[in-house]
Amino acid sequence: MVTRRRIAFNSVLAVTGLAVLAIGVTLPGAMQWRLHLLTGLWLLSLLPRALITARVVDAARGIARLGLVVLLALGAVTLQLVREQALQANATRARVTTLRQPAGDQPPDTATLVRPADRTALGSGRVWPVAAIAAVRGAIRDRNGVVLAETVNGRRVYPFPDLGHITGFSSRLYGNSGIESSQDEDLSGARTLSPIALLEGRLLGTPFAAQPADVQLTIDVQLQQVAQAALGDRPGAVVLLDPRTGAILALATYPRFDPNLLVLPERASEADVAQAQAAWQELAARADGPLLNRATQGLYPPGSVIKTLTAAAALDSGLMNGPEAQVTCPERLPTEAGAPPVVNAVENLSRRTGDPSDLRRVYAWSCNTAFAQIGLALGPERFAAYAARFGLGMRDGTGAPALRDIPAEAGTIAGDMVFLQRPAALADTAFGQGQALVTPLDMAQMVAVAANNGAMMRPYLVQEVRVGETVRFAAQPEALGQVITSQAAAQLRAIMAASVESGYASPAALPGIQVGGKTGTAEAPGGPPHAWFVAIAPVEQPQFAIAVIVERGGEGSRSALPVARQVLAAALGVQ
Amino acid sequence: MTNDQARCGNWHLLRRARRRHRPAVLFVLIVLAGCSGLPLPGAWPTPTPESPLVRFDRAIATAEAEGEAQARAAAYLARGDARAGTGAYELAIDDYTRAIELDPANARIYNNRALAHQALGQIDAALDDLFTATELDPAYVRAYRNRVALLEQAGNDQRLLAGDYGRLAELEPASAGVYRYRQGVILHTLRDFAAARAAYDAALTAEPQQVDALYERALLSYAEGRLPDAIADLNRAIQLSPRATNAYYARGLARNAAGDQAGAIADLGQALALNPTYAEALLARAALLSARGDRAGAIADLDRLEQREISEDMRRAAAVLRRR
Amino acid sequence: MRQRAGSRLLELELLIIACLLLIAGLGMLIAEAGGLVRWADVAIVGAFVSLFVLLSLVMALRCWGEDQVLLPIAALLAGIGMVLARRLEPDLVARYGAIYSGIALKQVVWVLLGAIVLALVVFVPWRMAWLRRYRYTWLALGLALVGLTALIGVERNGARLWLSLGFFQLQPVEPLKILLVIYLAAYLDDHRNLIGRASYWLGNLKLPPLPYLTPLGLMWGLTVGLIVIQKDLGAALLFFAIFLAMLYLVTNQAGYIIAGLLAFAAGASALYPLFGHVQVRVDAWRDPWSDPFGNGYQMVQALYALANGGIVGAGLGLGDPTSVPESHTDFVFAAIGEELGFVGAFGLLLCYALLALRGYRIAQQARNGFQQLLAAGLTTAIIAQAFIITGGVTNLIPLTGITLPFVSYGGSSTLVNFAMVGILLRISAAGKPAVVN
Repeated sequence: MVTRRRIAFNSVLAVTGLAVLAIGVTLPGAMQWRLHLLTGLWLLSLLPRALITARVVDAARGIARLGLVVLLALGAVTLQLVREQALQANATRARVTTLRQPAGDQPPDTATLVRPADRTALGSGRVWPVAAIAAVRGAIRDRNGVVLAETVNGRRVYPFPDLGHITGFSSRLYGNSGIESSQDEDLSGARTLSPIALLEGRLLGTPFAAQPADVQLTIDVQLQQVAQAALGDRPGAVVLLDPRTGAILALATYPRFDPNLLVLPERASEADVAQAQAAWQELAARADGPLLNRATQGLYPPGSVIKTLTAAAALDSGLMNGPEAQVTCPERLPTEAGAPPVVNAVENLSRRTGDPSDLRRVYAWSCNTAFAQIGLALGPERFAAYAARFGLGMRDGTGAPALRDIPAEAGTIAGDMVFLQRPAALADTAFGQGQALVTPLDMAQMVAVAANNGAMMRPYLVQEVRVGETVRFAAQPEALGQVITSQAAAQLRAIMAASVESGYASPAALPGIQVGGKTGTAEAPGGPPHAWFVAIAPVEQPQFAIAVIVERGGEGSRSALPVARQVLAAALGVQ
Repeated sequence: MTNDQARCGNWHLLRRARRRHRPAVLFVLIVLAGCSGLPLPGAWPTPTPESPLVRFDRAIATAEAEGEAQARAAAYLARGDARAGTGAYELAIDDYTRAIELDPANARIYNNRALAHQALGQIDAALDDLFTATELDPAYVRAYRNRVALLEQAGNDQRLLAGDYGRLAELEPASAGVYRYRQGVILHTLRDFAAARAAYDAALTAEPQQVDALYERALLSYAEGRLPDAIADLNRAIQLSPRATNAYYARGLARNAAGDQAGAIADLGQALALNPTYAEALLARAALLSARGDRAGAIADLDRLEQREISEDMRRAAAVLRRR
Repeated sequence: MRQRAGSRLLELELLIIACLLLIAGLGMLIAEAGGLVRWADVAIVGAFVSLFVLLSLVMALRCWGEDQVLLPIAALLAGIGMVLARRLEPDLVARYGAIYSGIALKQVVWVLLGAIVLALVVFVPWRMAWLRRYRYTWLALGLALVGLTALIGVERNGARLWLSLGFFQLQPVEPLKILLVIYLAAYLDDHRNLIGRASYWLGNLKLPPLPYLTPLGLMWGLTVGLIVIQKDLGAALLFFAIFLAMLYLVTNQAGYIIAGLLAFAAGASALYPLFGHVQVRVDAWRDPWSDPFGNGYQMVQALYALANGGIVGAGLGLGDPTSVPESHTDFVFAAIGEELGFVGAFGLLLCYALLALRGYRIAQQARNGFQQLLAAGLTTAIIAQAFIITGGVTNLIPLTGITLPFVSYGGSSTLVNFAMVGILLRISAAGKPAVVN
């Protein structure tokens, strides 16, 4: 008998069965789910079975129960479908996509396209390689237009390889040096690239043109060649400049290098590269430093040529009132206790200079003791101040070189002020020994000051930068300052002229032209002294200032003077 | 009748049945026992566990026995696919080759062999096979897709890739927009501007909202000097994608080229508002500000540019600009 | 006459619905293929509709009062099968080669032939008593066919299940189904009293009576033989299910069923370590992900297809069902699940449920015990087959190689299923009139 109570009980069990099924469907584990399924279905079946027993006639019960089994079985499949298609679909999909898929056999991922409104970057993101039209590098010319460096068929050619120190080289292997380096922006045309053109080139692929410039230097090739020929194969340097403007007309140095050996052709073969590398290795391995530009970077003890500075200081400070100012030239001059006395280079110099002498004669005959006295009389502060105005500072201070076009060193008068405080040191420095180290350019500037009425002009090499027809840059002579008064300068000029008339510098005389100069013989330990010579010409209205040094050349008058004479002669157009 | 009555009523029948059928019962019980695994002499032999590919081997055996070439080819194809699925690509290629011998006109086998070659890194062989597949069936979309994927990876024959994209656009008109756009990009990079423009136009005809094609077509017009077209396309692109920074940047440059500096600076400002570290936009705006005379603004932009990683050209240009 | 013609209006209406569904499915496929309606399509639809409507009308005219729901359900299922065959054909050809070309047309032929077989069964005047009288003949014939197949049949995938008759390949297991049901119905009806009432004691244990044991032994041998020799697990399971259902109807003792199930479980677990192919199936059921490219490949693909379908499906023609192997035969349910979604699959299950309920109602109202058993047995055959394969496809029970009635592609299966529906219709015609309709 199936009572109502039994049916109610079975309904509760059926509901429990439904709950078990509901829980089971959400379970991730398959076997647990199947267990839940069996249990739930069995519980669920109790109610219909009870109802069948209650309501259905005996004969039909079997079929009814069979039908119930069928329905439950199909219900199980339905639940499994719910599980696979709704509840676990995402997990299944994710699991399948992590399986190794055969390479390439995928549909295009059109489903992952972003809607237009959400895009933050369009297009392919292509950046065109910047194709500046291969601009031919600009040429470097001398003041008369003679080509010193140009690009021929993609290769940098230097028709005057002896000017390698000035022009520098432009090599893909070793970079740029000299004017090639300092004017690189103009020569390569980088200066003319507009950022907008560059950006358009990157975005659109349109090529854009750089406009290289030609550089005109102040150098005069003929004078340069004369200077180089006069210097010969002796290590040294020649600096010839125009004291009125500061333009450098010749800048010779020895030893030199050939910049043609270091550049590569446009399509460089391995042999070319090897050649250039071998040339570089050879240059780097040499002990005499051929890559050094001695004219601007060589630091030497000045020797007697520094007397020009001392004289200028004396004249300008009023210590001496003119070339006739009296000064003695003793054989030896004690300076301080414990230090060796100052002696002249030549014995019994007072024979030449007279006794007492004057500034003119002690300068002409390079009397060390006289200038030592002058130096001591000036005192360390004043002397150092004048040295600084001439561009010679202390080694522990800032001594910025005045030349900007190519690398240059700054000369120094002494190590530090403490050194000059010592009388012996001051005396030594005043006549040409001591700790002073100067470049030939410094010395050329020194006499250029005298030539230019006491004003020092900034030395420069680049006269003009021209882009096509337009002049982008034209050099303006720049005064660095009034070092000495023009009166002192005139007096100094007179002294220098007298030195050539009757002094050690007399071989420098040129027919018809008055030359003013000073020889120098700088003692340098480890060998013969360096030979110096500085000069200006013509003295009345000087057009040229020159400084020559011949390393280990011995006496200035013997080695350096003839070089300067030759150059000046060529510059002034006389034999 | 209840069970008890049955028992009582038919007892004699059952007893007889019982006695007579006892041997049969025993026989059945023995069969049952045997099936339930009790040790008996001459037990069933234990087979070796089957490898997962055994059913493919059996399929091939069946096909070989039947003798029809296409069916055999299909069996080898199936095993080749299964082997490729497990990573045994060389063996898969062997199967595919055998299948090709049996059914030389079946493009699908060539396609699958190409995939196996690709998995082994044999790009040329893969391309050859895909060529054959498309020759055999010029409408075989899957082969074209695979070839496109392969060429995109290998990157050697761009002309062919462009051609394939065109063919895919014909075969799958639903995705023609994307395919034509990609074709256009490749032709654009190859500097075949006329063909690239045609491709972009086709892309936009198929899918008017294909913003990439709009953008690229604008750049093309700009490069050719047709500024109004370029600006019009960029306007539309920006309308569809208001947050696309490079669209604003491109429009800024285009406006500048057309003479509208103020509009150009506004567009560049918009691009920088969306992406404050956008290097090209910074440089462009610095150049425009400097030309207009606003040195301070230009320097500010150049300073921000300094902090970014940019190419040598841009760095040099920025330095030059700064010095002016 | 008019009254007769209108006596089967329900059937006509349901048939129209079934045909509309078929037309809708076909229309979707045509639209996806480009919208070109060919004469062949129109002809097929016309033939299908006209054949079934003609059947219905003739039955109405004869006015024997057959069940009105069975034929539309069968037509609907067969129509779904035709639409699916047509949908799958191009993808199958593209994926596996030209041996699959033409299956759509072949399935149409089978369905139309099936309708003709149905017509023959329903209209040709034969008597149920013949089935009953010659039951041993039928059984012997069926077993002989199976034995013949085991000897000289065509081997496919490691099993000899098919007998090649030139143009047509027969799977003798299918007609064996009907023959076995007839035999069992007759036997159990004959021994109904003995089986139902007597019991047999073996010591303390109460065992079913001996006449029960003989067919049990026969079933046992048949099942084991099928598994061992033919490796046809699906048929084995199906026959055993049919037998248990019919036994339950006769004895009304759930205990026998449980005993039978336990014996089957014992036998199966004994066979499991001995036979690789059983292991393979069970391992793939327990965790198909452990060997996703080997044993579990088919299962994983089916699960993925179902997951892709979701609730509403990917759309007819828009999924990728051919990635599942055998998607046109055993795994057609996965194809339905993918393209028509849960809604479609559930609808299909509802159709089978409805078929089962109608079949059992026919059994309940059968004229005599034999016909009752026959109807119940045939219904269980159809529905158990449906459950076994859908349960296998959805990984509810281990997978067995068996087709989904009416929907799977296959000649023998379709013809036999239509024959079964024909016999059910005959039984319903002869049955007691329904008290409540």
